[in-house]
Amino acid sequence: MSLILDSICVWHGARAAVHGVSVSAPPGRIVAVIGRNGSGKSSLVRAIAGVHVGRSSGSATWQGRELAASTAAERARRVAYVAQRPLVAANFTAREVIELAGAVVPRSAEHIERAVDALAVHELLDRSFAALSGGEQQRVVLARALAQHDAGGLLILDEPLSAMDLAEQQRVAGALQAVASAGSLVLVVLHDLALADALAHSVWWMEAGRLRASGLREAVLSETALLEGFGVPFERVGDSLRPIVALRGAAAEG
Amino acid sequence: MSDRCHPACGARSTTSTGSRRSSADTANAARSRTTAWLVIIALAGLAVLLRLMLGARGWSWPTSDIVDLRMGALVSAAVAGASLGSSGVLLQALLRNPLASPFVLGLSSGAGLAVSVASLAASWGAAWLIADGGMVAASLGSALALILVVAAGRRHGAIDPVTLLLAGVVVASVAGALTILVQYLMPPSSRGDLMAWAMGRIPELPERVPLMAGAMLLASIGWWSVMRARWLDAACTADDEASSLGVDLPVLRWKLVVFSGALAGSSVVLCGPIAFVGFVAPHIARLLLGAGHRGLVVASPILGATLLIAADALRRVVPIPGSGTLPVAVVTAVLGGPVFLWVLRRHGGRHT
Amino acid sequence: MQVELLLNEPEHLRLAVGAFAEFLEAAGQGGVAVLGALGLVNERVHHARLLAGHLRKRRQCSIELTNELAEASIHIGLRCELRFELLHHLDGLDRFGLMDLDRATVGGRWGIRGWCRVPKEEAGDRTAQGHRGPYCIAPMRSVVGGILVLVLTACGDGSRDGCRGAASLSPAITLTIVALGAGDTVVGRTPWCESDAPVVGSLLDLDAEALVAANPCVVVVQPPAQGMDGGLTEVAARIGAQVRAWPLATLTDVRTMVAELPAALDPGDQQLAARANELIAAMDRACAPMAWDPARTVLMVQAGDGRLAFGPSTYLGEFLAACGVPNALGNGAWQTLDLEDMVELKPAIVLTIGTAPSPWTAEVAARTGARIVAADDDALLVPSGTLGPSLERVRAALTTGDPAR
Repeated sequence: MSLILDSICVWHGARAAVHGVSVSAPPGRIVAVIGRNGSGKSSLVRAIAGVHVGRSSGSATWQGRELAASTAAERARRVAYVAQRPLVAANFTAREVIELAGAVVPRSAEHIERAVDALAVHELLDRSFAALSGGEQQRVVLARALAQHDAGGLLILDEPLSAMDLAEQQRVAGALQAVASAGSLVLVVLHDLALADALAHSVWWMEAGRLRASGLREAVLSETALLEGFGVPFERVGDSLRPIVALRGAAAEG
Repeated sequence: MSDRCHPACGARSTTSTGSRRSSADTANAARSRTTAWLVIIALAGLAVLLRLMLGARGWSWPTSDIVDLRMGALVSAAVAGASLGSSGVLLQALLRNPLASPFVLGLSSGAGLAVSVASLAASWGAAWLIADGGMVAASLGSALALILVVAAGRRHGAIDPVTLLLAGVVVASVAGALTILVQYLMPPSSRGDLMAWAMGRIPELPERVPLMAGAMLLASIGWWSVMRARWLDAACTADDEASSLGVDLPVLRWKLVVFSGALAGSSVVLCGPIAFVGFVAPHIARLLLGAGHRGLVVASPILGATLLIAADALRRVVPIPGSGTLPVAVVTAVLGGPVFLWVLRRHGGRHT
Repeated sequence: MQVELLLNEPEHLRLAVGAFAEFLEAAGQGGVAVLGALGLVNERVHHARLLAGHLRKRRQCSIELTNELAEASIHIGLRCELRFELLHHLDGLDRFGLMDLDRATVGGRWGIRGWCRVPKEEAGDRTAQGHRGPYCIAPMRSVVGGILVLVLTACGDGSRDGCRGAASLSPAITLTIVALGAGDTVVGRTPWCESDAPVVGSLLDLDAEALVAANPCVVVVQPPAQGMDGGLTEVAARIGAQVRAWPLATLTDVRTMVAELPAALDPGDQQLAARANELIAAMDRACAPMAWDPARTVLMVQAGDGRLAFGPSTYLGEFLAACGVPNALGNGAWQTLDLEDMVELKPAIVLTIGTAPSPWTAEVAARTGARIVAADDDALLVPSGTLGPSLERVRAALTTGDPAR
């Protein structure tokens, strides 16, 4: 009952952003989708989530049913998605934004309360969403996705942690791990390789629209492969991955 | 595509309670909501009372020979105003833009052009063209404008809010320019009617057919919007988020544009082009009830009706030296203009 | 005498100059030649100078050359004026006549449109009657060839050099000018005037360039409530045209306009003044008091769906008051009425003015018992000097109940 991708191709106009990605992932995992800018990470997960506007081909099957075949409402029951930059074009409070989870798919109040608890956004609930900081907005939108999400479902997150501070990231990481251990599959696009390494069980590494590597995190995120793929040396210290970046000298050298 | 728009909403408390949602908060929110609804109902009642009692000779209960005239105007204004309010809230949700109003679809301009052309033809002898007060021409004109705007406002077969808005502006300006041309060609003696139509008029003895059609349209679309209010909420997010929340955006947008167009068109047919009601009513509703569409889709039509009834009552008592009463569209524009500017300033201030 | 020549070829111009000079000499008077040629500007200037020199040599005249009006014409100022336009036209020109030049000297106003053909015998007759000079200029025929005399008009002494006729920015005044019998002096009009003259704008919207091109001696306007267009004053000053303005809100205004119009058009023309007096007399006849039950009020509403009623201070309101008929509206000028207002006014008669259909009349009649009288005459909607006969018909309709037309 895994997520199975078969030759997924995605086009933006005439340009193919993803060509022929075939990979699978079982439930109960956190899968980090990594890669350099423009490698097709977002395009891939947007196509899986069914929110890509434009041409795409291939099939994405989740729990034995093809995602593209279902209506938007059916898909919303099975897949929750958080966009890279959340937008709310109405002066909703954070609570109203989270309650959007039940706008089409019926959601119980307990469901919503659980998501609020998981991401600790209680104190934000009655504030205007537009007035929140970037990290707070990401937490609220994540809470909405969790509220929409059922255990054993598919949760797709596009850079959900980019604007959060470390404490927020830690809390969210914990929440995502809890979701995964409850039997869901969490697909998360991440820029930060150290974060990906710390959070994910397995990794899909995209490069120029193709899957460069996929597999368990320890196997994919080797120091040599990272140096080759990203041009930056990494080192493992204990259980954590660290880039060895000398930004100070970069200007002088380059 | 994802487009960033201004939040489509009025003020809301931004104070942080700093605590979990308590039963006291919930009770407060419910109480303020109740108060807001009471205010809306009181305003509507006041407007109805004003319209029924204000005559050319001051306050009085209408005598039996004119009571049906006042009731007729009241019903016409209520149906047209509610249509405009409803159309406005749907359109603002569709375009994710608080400055949208039913007339950005170019409907009133299309209707105005059609009525002008019909009047011109009437002045050349085809008087039957305008014998119904321009109703048939207005229906045709607004329908054509809507079809044109929608046809031009699509990208890849789906309604694209930004393209739609631009198409509406273009259709409105072209139709406006052509209207001026047609009016220029008309003999001065025939222009009075056209002017009267263009300034909006609440019929005291509304024609049954358009009134009933408008009311039925309003009722069915009103019911639909109540049932789909949460969809409208979800549609306030970016396209990808909305569709991930389960909203079938292409279908929803088609419905929104056709429904809001039909409502605005029916109000134009009933009362001529009346500005600002469709824009202002949703904003007042947001001020009172917040941005959630469950309240808005009910409150906006009520407030739209209230506004138009009140404007129709006020125009009868505002004296203009030497000549009768003000046209109703002038009253709504004079009242609505400042609100428009105020909204513009608020949103401009927040987002720059 | 002023002559305007529109000639295409320098050669024609030179010949025309010679012929004109000969005529002037024969007629024994000075003149103004306005030369407009379709050829090169420099050529025109050259030949205008030639003419000027020619005239100066033969007559004791002061001559000025101007070339400022969009290069359209060149003015040579002399004492009196005569208009004489020649446009090229190529076939069937067997005789080329300068007709009726004698009438210019008596200050008459006349115009001839189209071809002028003067039989040789007639020209001879004129010579025999003592008019010296070449009324029929035979030598020109062969050389000037296809030149058509389109318009030949003359004005009396004292007119501004080069200007001609009147431009009207008011349909009502244009109608009045036509009614005075001076329709062919209209050289500029509004889009709603029935005239062949070019459109030079309307009450609120002046086409300055068209007005300059029309070059009228006088501009007649009906100033709107907010006052006269500042642009009009400026343009008129530039071309030296006189501006006469008459507000036409009331019947008194209309009478004043009719009375003053002849002097503005041509002070010397007694016929115009006489005709104006007739128009005013017709209005006076229509406005005489008549026997009327003062309890029966009349509501005058413009036909159509606009429900614009004529209050006592409008020109039709004044007419009603003069007839001794009470207006259902107590005061004010034009008022837009609701159905409710009409019902509450309880008029005995509702008079619809104009030919447009008025869908509300049946409703008002049913509720108030008012008699609907249709004055279906659009002339009533224009406060012009020709109101008299229309008003008389309304007056008759009010008493008999017959439609006014």
